[in-house]
Amino acid sequence: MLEIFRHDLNIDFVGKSKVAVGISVVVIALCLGSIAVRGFNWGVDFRGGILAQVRFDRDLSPAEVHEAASALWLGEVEAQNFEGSKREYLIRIDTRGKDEKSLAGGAAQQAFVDKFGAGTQIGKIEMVGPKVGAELIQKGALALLWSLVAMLLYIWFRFTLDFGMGAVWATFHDVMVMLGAFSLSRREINLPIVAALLTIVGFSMNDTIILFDRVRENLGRRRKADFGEIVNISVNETLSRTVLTSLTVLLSSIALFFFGGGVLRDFSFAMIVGVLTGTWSSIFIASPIAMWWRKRFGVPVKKA
Amino acid sequence: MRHIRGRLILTVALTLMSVLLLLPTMVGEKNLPEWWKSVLPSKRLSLGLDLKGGVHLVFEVESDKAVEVELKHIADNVRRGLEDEGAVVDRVEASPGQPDRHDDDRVRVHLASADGRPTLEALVKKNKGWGLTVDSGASTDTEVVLSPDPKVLDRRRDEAIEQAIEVIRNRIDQYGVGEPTIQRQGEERVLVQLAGVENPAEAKALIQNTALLEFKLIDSKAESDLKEVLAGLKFGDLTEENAKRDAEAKVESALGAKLPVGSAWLFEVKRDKITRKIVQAYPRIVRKETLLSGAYLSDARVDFGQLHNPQVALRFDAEGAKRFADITGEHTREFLAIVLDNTIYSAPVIRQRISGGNAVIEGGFDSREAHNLAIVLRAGSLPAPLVLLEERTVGPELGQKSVQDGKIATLVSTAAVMLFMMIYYRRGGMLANVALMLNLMYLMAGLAAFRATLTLPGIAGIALTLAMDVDANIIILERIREELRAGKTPRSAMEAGYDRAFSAIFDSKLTTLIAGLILYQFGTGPVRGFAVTLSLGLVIGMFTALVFTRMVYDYVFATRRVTTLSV
Repeated sequence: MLEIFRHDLNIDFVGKSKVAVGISVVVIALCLGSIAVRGFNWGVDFRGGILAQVRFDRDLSPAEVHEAASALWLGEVEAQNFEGSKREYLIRIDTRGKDEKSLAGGAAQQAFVDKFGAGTQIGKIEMVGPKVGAELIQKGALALLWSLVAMLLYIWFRFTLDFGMGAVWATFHDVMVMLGAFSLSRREINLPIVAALLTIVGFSMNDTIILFDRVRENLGRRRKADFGEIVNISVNETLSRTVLTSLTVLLSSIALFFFGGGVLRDFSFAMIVGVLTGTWSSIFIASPIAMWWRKRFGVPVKKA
Repeated sequence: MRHIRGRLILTVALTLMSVLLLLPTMVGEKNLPEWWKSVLPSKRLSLGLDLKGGVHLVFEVESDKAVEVELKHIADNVRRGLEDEGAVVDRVEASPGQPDRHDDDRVRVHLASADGRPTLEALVKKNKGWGLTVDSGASTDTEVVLSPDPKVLDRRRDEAIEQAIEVIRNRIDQYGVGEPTIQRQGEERVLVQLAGVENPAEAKALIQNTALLEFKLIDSKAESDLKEVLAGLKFGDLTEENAKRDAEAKVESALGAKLPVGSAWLFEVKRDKITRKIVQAYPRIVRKETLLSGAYLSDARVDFGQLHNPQVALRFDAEGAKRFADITGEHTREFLAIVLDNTIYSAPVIRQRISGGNAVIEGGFDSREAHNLAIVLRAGSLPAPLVLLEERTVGPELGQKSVQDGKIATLVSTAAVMLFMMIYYRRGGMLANVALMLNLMYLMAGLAAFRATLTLPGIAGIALTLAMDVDANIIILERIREELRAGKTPRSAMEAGYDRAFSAIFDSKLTTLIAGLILYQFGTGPVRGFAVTLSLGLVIGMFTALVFTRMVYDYVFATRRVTTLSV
């Protein structure tokens, strides 16, 4: 039978956890640094403003499109080729500090047609008022926070608090890395990205719990063994499954990245980064934190 | 066979149900026979606006304005009551407090002398329906501060929002859009989704038009007194918001201080006779009092006047007709301004008393404009202005491209996952693939059953959910391999594999489900669609992995002698 890892594999993951945690600390520091210095490229959903995708019937230079859009809307205009096409443009208008009433998008279609001819097609126009954007950031952050809290409670109930802490911090690690990746690559954060972020929260948690489930099982079987040893055995035993599942989700995300069109590209980028960091954190971050918690606060007593 | 019968029946039933739910989507609603529609589900899976094109609008009802009107109404009642009691009143003011709350809204009564105060207090006590109390701390002898019951104002605010939604619904229904979505969102927001609208700007204007129709008298004396000032105030088209504001500032500084008490200025617009575009706007002076409003209309329709110019014919109800007759009788030879949303459309001279309750707005419209004006007048005026918070327009071409992209991406990703499973786990993998196909079918059927809307992130959700559902099969198959290696017989390895994998699958899926549900709770629009897909997929995935595949194994072990497992 086909195996990606030999079944009698025995890698000392726990022994290498210091190095792994070190790598994660450096990566997270880099991410936080980028978030602090460069910030995020908030999409129109969060920042407020206008985003238009327009296809013209002939090649146009960014300057021409810029000029036309500037005449149409108040605010800072940015015109950018869409997927390398000279006919199709993404136009972003930063309307911060401008009157909300000037945000009209609907009249734009006619104005573009008047200027560039009947072949002009509006792919989409999105206008979001600044009020809505600020609310969405708040809602997104709350959703993230509450899902982490709810999951911590569930794991606490089904396992013990040390496992819960390990799983939640590992997941938090993944969120940080994903946000950092978006900050570093200057990719736009919009609503679907938040959905991807929360999917990864679920995915990473899923991964960690499957490992912890094995630890729970092995703890029951080998009562005498050292916790670290049990974690190590469990990681090795579940390694095939962890990597295989990650591979299937990765395959699927890569398919979305290449075939899903422009709209899904950033979304699948988030998924790819998330699957990689989620797998990493399940193997290298979750258990050391659970172990550390156990050492620091003692072995939690399970009621049932 | 007996031990699998229950599960088999369940699987067959679910599959049948899914086929029934998905058939309308596969063959199209129109191709279904009549008898089907009467007993079986006939709604197809609906596509979100990002896939079929359309407009998504979120408005905020400025309900503070409606409350302010109510406050003014209360102030008027107080003034009238005081005058009836013989008290001398200087003025009664409505003074709204901070926005978005109504516990600091006040009515201020300025009395001519302190003698009026006991009268006022008695009046307030007598008219309990007004819900007013005297705020003694803030009052002086001649300025009495009344605080209205915040509950009354809050109720008015709620009514205004409900009324606004009703008016929007009426207007859209008359405009003619297939299956519009009109929903209240949160406290004072309204979500409007219109699929396949050809002219989003027009639809938006139609909704946002306050359509407050008023009849006021032109103050001819003031106009002739201020003739020179007025002559210098002529503007072009003021449709553009900024131009309008500049013009307003200019008129206000030239005219504002010179107006007689009880009069105000409003713009009148003049249109080109041929193109019917607004070519000129200039201020006119009107008496502030509204003689008649659109509330008394029973109908508004487009008809064609002399020279076939489109015009809007109004019909008043009985009360309105009587008032209109009185007004025209009383003010013959004066000019009556027809004011729509604070702009004068025409100001004809009243030649004689008009009974019968019919009137016409000439206004020089083009026929499309007249048509839309008639709609908004028929549907009634908005109780408060609407502010546009969010607008998303997706063209039909982009929508179609997204559907294509989404389909291809889902197919490629599913095929890749299935190929991988088949190579890696051989027959076990093939069984997992069958489970995966069932999964996809149940998921689509589930979405149809929940009347969920398929959005682009939703399609991505399907692809990802399928990939994550494979996880349950991988856990089981890996576990079976382990048990086989530990030297168990195929049958006990299979049984142990499922038993031991259960807690891992259950706990991990349930935690992910928690994330999915929270995503649904907090999400809006496309994110919600994604959360529904994800959560539904998790539950279905547990069923196919734990119940369906296990049933197949049980069947095989019961009917054949199995010596090796192909996993």
